[in-house]
Amino acid sequence: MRRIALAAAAALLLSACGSGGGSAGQELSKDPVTIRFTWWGADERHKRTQQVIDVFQKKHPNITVKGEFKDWNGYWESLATTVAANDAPDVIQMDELYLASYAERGALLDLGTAAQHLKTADFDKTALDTGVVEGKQYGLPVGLSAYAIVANTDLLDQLKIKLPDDNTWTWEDLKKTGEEVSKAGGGKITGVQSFGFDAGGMNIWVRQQGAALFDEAGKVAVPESVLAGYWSYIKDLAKSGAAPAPSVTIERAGGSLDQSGTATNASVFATWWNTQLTSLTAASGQNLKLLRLPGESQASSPGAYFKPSMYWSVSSRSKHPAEAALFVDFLANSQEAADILLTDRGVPANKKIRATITPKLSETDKAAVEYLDALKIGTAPRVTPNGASSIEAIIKRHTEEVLFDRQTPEQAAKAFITELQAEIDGA
Amino acid sequence: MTNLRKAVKHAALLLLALVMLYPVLWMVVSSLRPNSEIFHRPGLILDSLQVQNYGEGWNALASPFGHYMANSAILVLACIIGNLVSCSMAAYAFARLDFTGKRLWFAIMLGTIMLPIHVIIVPQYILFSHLDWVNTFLPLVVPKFLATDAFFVFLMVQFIRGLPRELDEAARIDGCGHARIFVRIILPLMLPALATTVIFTFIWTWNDFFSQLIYLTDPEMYTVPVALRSFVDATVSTSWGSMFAMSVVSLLPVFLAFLVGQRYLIRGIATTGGK
Repeated sequence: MRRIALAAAAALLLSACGSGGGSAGQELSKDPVTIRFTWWGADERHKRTQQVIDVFQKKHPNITVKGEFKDWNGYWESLATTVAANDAPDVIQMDELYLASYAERGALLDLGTAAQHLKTADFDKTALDTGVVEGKQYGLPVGLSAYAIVANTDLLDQLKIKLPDDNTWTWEDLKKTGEEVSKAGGGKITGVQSFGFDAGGMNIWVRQQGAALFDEAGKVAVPESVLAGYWSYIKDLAKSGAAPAPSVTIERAGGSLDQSGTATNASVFATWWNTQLTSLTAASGQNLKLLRLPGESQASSPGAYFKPSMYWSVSSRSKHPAEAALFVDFLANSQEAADILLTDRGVPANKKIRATITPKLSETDKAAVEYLDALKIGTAPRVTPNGASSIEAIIKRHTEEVLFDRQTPEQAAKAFITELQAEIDGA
Repeated sequence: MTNLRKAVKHAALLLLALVMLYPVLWMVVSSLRPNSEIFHRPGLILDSLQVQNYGEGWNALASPFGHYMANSAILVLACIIGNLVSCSMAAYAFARLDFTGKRLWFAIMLGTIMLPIHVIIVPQYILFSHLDWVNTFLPLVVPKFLATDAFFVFLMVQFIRGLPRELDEAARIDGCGHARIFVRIILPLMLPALATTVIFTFIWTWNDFFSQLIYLTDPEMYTVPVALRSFVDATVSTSWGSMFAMSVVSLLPVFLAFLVGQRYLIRGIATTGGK
C-alpha cells in the first residue's frame, strides 16, 4: 500500500517535470565525476559489487562510483521517493515488474542513445527485447532465468519413489507423484510445495494454454476460464494432499527462501527460478535437481520463457549519462566484473561472458546454466505494464481466498482480471 | 493453602512470560547456530555454541558493524536533546500561556500525530533535497529541535497541567518571568515526563527504519536498522545467523536503556494521565 502511494506521488511529480531529456552521446569528462549506483540484495552481493566498483575506479581514476545498497522492499520505497524528488541515482538496478512504470514516466534513459559507450553486441536480440518499452531500450538485461521445478532427489530415494520423466510429464503426473510422496512421507514430507504466489507460475500456466497475461497494448488479456483452471489445480493440490494444508502453505509463502519447503526438506517438488538452485541447495543440504515444467510437451507452444533477473538502467536526469553508460558497459561486458560477480545476479545474459565464466562455477550453478541452455523457450511475454507491478500481491490474495474456500476459482479469476485492469487504468 | 495458590500463580505467569519471550530467545539461540540449521529447528536447545556468526556479522557489510552503531548513537543523542529542549518549551506554552487560537493550534498539533509518514515523505524529501541535506543526519535531527514530535508535546502538556498553578503564582510574586518559572519551577518538577521522553525517543529513533532508509543514501551513513536490513534479501539465501547475531548486538542498548529507565518510564506515564 505504501509503495503504491509513493509510486502515485512519484507519477504526479514526474508528469509535472515533463519527460526525461538526458542523452548519453556526450564525451566523457576529464574532470572528477561522481555517479551514484543503487541496487538491492543481501550482504554477499554487496561485497561482490563493491569489489567491482573498486576495479572500475582503478581503471577510471576520475570517476567515483558511490554504491547505495538496500533490501528489496526498502529499495522500491526509496527509489520511488528519490525519483519523485528528482534526486535519483545515476545507475539503477531495475526489475521487470517496475521497468515499464519507470520508463513510461520518463525516469529512465534510452540506452540506445548511449551506444557510443555501452556495447550490446554480445546479447541475443530476444534477451535485449525484454528491456524494450515503447520501442526504446530502457533496461539492459543482466542475467537470465527460467521457471523450473526443483525436485529433492534424496527425499525421493528415501521414500523409494521414482523421479518422473520431465520430458513428457503433465501437471496431472506432478499431482499424482505428489500424492504418493505425501502418503509415503507420513505427514512430515509433502509432495508439492503449493505455488500461486508469483507471476512466473501464472505466466507459464497461461502461456501453455496459448494465452497471454497482457496484450501488446498492455491490457489484461487472459481469459477467465484459463485462470479458473489455474486456481482449480492449486486447490486440487491442497485437497488431494499433494500440497500441505492451506495454513502451512500461506505461512511459507510469507517467508523467505530459507523458510520454504524446499529449503527445509519438507517438500519434494516446488516451483522456482533455475538460478535459485544454488541458494536452495545450500539451505537444504540435500541433492536438488532442476526439472522441466510439466505440460510443456503437450502444450502447443512452450510456456517457458527467459525472465531477466534484473536490468541495468540509467536515470534520465543523470548529470553524467556518459559516465553512467560507461559503468554499465563495464558491469555488463567486462571480464573483470564477470569474474567477480559470476552468477550472483543470475546467469549472465551476455552470451560471451556466460561461456567464459561457466567453467568457474559451482556444480549447482553449472546445472542452472545447463538448464537454461537446453530449454526450449517461446517468445518473451510483454513487459509488465505500468501499474501492474502489484500483480503478485493480487495473485497471492486470491490464492489465499481460494485455498481457504472463501472464493471459487471462477470468482477468483473474474475478480483478479477486474482488479489488475483497474490498477493498470489507474496508473 | 495460600502458598500453593502463590506457586500456581507464579508457575502460570512464568509460563506466559516464556511464551511472550520465545521469539527473542529464539533469535538469541539462532544467532549461535550455523546458518543451515536455523529454519530446520524451531526449538531452543543448542547442540553446540557457534560464536562465529558474531564475528562474520560484525564484518559482513561495507564497514564494521560498530560504525553503524556509532551512527545510530549520534543520531539518537541528537534527537533526544532536540526533543527535550523543544517539546518541553512547546508544552509549557500550551499548558501555561494564553495566546490567540491556542485550542486550534493544539488540535492541529495533535492532528499531526495522525498523519502517516508516507503522506509527507515526498514533499519533505524535496524540501530537504533543495536544502542539500539528503545523506546527512540533518533531516532526521533538525525537525526534533522544532518540536515536531507531537506525542511528547502532548505528554508534557498533560504533565504540566497536573502541576499546581499556585507554584507559578508564588514564583511570579517573587518576581519571576516565564523563562525563569519554566527553568526553575516547571522543569525540575517534570523530571518523570522528561525521562519518559528520553527513553521513548531513544527506542523509537534506534528502531526507526523508514526515514533513515530514505534520507541516508551512502552506506557510510547507514544506521543500525538500515544496516540490519541489508543482510536480508527475499530472492537469494540470507546470512540469517549473521543477521540475528547483529540483531542481538543492536538490541543490547535498547535493553539496557529500558532496564535503567523503566522506573521513570512507569512513573512518567502514570502521572501524565488526565486527572
